[in-house]
Amino acid sequence: MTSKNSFLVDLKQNAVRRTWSILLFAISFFFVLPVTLMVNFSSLLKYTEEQFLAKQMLVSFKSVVVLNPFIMAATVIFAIIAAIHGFSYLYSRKKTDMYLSVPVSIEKRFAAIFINSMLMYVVPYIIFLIITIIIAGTYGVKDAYIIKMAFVSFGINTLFYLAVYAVTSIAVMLTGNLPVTVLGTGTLLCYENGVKILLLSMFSNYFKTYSPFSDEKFLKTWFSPLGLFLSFQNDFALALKDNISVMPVVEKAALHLVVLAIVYMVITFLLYKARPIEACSKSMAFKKSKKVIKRLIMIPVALVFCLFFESASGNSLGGAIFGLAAGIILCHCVIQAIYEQDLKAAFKDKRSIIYIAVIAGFIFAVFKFDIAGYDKYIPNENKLVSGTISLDTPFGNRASFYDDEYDNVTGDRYRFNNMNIIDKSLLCDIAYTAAQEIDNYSTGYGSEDNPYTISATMKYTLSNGKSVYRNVYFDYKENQELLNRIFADVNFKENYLQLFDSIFAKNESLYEIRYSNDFITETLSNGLNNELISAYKKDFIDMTFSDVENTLASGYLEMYAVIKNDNADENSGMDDSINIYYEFPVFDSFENTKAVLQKQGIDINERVSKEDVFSVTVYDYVNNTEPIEITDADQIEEILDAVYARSQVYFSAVNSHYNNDYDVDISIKPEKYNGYYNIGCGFKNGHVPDFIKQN
Amino acid sequence: MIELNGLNKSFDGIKAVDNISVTIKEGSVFGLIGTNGAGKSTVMRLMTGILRPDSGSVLIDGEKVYNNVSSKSKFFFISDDQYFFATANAKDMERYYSSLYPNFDKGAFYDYLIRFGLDAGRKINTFSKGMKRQLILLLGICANTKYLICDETFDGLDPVIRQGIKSIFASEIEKRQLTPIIASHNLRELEDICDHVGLLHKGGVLLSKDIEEMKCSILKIQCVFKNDNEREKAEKNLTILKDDVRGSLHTYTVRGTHEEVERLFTSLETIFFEVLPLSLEEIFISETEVAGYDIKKLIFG
Repeated sequence: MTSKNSFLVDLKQNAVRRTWSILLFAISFFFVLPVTLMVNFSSLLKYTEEQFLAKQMLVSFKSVVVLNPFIMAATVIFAIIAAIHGFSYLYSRKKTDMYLSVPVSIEKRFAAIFINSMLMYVVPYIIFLIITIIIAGTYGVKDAYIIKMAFVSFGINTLFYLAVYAVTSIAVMLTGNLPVTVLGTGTLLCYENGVKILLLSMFSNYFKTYSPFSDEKFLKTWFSPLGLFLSFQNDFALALKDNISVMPVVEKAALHLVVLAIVYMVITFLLYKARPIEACSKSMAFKKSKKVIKRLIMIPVALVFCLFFESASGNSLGGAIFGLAAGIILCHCVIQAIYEQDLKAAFKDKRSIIYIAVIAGFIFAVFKFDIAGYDKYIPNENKLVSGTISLDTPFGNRASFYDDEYDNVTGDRYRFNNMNIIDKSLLCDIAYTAAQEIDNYSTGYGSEDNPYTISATMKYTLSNGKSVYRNVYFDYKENQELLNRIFADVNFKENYLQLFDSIFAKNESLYEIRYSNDFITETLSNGLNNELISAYKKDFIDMTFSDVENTLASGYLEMYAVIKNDNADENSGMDDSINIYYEFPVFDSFENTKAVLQKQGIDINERVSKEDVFSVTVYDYVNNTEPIEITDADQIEEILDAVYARSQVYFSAVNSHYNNDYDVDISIKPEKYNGYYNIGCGFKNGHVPDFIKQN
Repeated sequence: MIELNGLNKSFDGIKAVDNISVTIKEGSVFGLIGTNGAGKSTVMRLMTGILRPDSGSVLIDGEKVYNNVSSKSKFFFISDDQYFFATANAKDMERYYSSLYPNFDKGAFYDYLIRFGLDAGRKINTFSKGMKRQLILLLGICANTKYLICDETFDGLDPVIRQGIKSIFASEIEKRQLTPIIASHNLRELEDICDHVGLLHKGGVLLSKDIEEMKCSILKIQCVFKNDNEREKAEKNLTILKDDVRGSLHTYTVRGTHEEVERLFTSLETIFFEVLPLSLEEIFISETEVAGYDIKKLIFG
C-alpha cells in the first residue's frame, strides 16, 4: 500500500528529477517574454517618433505575446524534451528495475510524468506572460483585445505543446533508445506532410494536366500537430491582419488539437502499458511494429530517390529505376542496421526489400505511365454540377483581381471562386478534347511541336461536393468551334475579368480611366465612366474567339482608383490608402467602346507620326548583329506601319501573329511628350521591312 | 510465501527462464545461485513484477505481482546495478522510499547509516560500489517489507559488512519474519547467509533444498577397511553418492544421518574411519553430480 500523499510525493520526485528541464523552460520563457518586451520597448523609446510611439509599442507588445514565433519554436522543442525526459527511464534497465519494482501503479506513474510535463510548460509560460502584461501596463501599453489574444495564444500553444508531447511520447513508447526516439519523433511529426508533398511532387512531375489547385484540400493536415499548427498560425495571422474574428479559427484549431492530443495520449498510455520493459536500449520496443514502420518509411524514401535520380538522369526510366532500387536498399539497410544496432544485419529481412520494390514500383508505374488515366480525365456528365474555365487567353497576365479585402488574387483563384459554368456538355467537351490531344504534349506545352496551343485550368465541381482541377491544353486552330462556345458562355465572360462584380462596381465612379496603346495615352473625362464601362462590358460579352484570334489588342483601358483602407492603423505611420488598378484590352471589334472613346476624340489605333519620331533602333536577335539605328523618315513610316507595341502581346489571344526575332525601340522626340520617351515594339508577322532584312 | 509456477521467459527467441517452479517460504533466507547467464536476474525481475512472464505465474502471498501495487508493497528489490537519483544523497533516497513504503523505519535507517559509517548528506554518486550496496541494503531493510529481494547484492561486500548485514538479517527475521531472497553467482557468498538454496542452470532449477537438511543428510566418510568383506558390507548399507579410492583410503559421500553412519562403521572392522561435515560447496557438487551435472564447471568455472 502506498501512503496517502504518495502521488504528490511521486509528482514532487518526478519534478526534482526533471529540474534541468524545468529551469530550461522557465529561463526560455523569461527571455522570450518579458526580456524581449523590455528590449523592444527600450529600442522604440530611443528611435521612434513621439506620434507613433504608443502605436508601435502596442504592435511590439502584440508581437511578443500573440503568436510569438519564438514561443512556437520553443513549444515544439519543449514538448519533445518533456516527453523524452519524462519517459527516459524506459531507456535504462537500471531505472526500470527501480521504478517498476516499487509499489507505484503504472497509471499513477504515467499521470505524474504527464502532469509534470504540462506544469513545467504552463506554469512558467503563464507567470512570465502575466509579468509581461504588467510590464507593458507600466509603460501605458494596455489593450484588452491584445491581452485576450495573448491568453488565446497561450491556450492554443498549450494544446499544441500537448499534441506534440503526445506524438513524441508515442515515439518513446515505440522505441528503446534516445537516438531512435528522436528519429521516430521526427518521422511521426513530418510523415503526413512529407508523404503529401512527395505525392504532389509526383503529380506535378508525371502528370501534364496536374494543377496545383488540387493541393489545397489535399495538403490540409489531419494527423500531424506540427503541420496543423503551422496552418493555424497562418490562418490566425491572416484573421488578425484582416481584423476579422479570430475565434472561429482558434476554436477550429483548438478542437482539432484537443482531439489529436486525446487520441495520441490514449495511444501513448496503451503503448505504455503494453511496452515490454526489456525493450530498453533496443531500437524498437515492439517486434510487430518493426516491419510495419520500416516499410512505411521505405516506400516514400524509395520514391524520393526515384524522383531525384530520374531528374538527375534527364528523366530517363533507367535513372528512375536505379533511384527506386537505391532508395529501397539504402533505406532498408539503414533502418535494419538501426533496428539491429549492427551494420552486419543491414540485409536481414530481404523479404521487405522485395515487397517494397513491388509496392513502390507499382506506385511509380501508376504515375509514370498514367495507369489510372489521370491525364485523360473526363468528368462524368451526370455527376458534374458546374465548372470553371480559367483560360490563359485572351487577356493573359495583365488582368488584375482583388478580393473583398483588396488583396491581390490570381486570375485562376478569382475565377474558381466566382465562375460557375453550368453547360456540362461544354465542360465535358473541353475535357474530352484535351484528353484526345494530351499525347501531343509529350514534349510539353508551348514547344515547337505545338505552336497553336491554348491552355486553361479547369475546375469541375462534382455532385459529391468535390472539386477536380486540371490543366488542359488543346490546339486552338483545330478547336475554333469549341473556343467560340466557351466565349459564348455568359457566365464565363462575366467572371473572366473583374469587370462585372460588386467590388469593381463599388468604385466605378472613382476610377480615373485612360486609354493607351503606348503610342498615345489619353485620359478620359470622369463623367464618361459609366457609359464607357457599360459599353466595354457589352463589347466584352459579345466578343467571340474569332474576333480576337490572330488579332492583337489595339490598346487598353487603364482604370485606377485610390480607396481608403478601413483596416489600416492610423497611428502606425503606415499608408492608409489602397491603390487599385485594372487594364482592359480594347480590340478592333469593340465597336461600342470605340464609339465612346471617339466622343473624346480617341482613335484606338492612332500612332505617332513619323515626324514625332527621333529614331528607331532595331535589334536582330536571330543573327545577333549590331543594332541598326534608323532616322530616315520614310523608313520610320514603314516601320510604324509594321510594328505592334510589346505591351499588346500580354493581351494576345494567341501568339502566332507577331515576330519575336526583332526588338524595335522607337524614340519619340522630346517635344512630343515633354521629355524623352521610348516605345518597345516588335514586328508583326510577315511585316518585317525589306531594308531591315537586308541589313 | 512467494510461488513461482511454471515460469517461462524468452528474449528475442532465446529462452532465459525455462519452466521454473520454486516456492520460497517466509522467515528464511533463500539463496538463488547460478552462473552468469543462468537466468538469476531474469527470475528476480519476474519475481518482482518488472518483467511480464511469457507463461506461468508469480504469486506473492497468493497475489499476482505483475502490475499489482499491493504485491509490490510487500517486497523491496535491490537490483544488481541499483539506480539512485542523480545528485541524490542518502537522505533524498530515504525520503523517496519512505513515501512509497509507509512502514519505512527512518530512525533505524539513520542509526544504521551511522553504524555503517555512511554520511547521510553525501552525494551517492561519490560513494564507492560497496558503499552504494550497503546503502541500498539499509534502505531495503528499513523499508520494513516482508520480503527483501537482492540480486547479487552481496557479491563483493567485505566480510565485516557481510557479517553486519547478516546479523541485521538475523534480527529482522527474528523480529518480523523478514524473508531475504538473495541471488548470487557465487555459492561461497551465500553459504553463511542462506537457509534454503535454489540452483539455477540454463534457465531451469537444478535443485532447491534447505541447507541444514542437505548438511544433515549428506556426509563424507574417510576410512581404511581391514578387508574387502568389511568394505563390501559397508558399501551395501550406505547410499553412496560419490566414491573415491586412494590406495586403501576410501572416501565416500553418502546420504544419511551422522548417527546412522557412526553406528554402521562402529559395527564394522576398520583400521580407521572418520565422519566429516561437508561444505555447502561439496554438498552441491555431490547433489548435482548425481543429477548428471558437473557443478564445478557450472558454479566454480
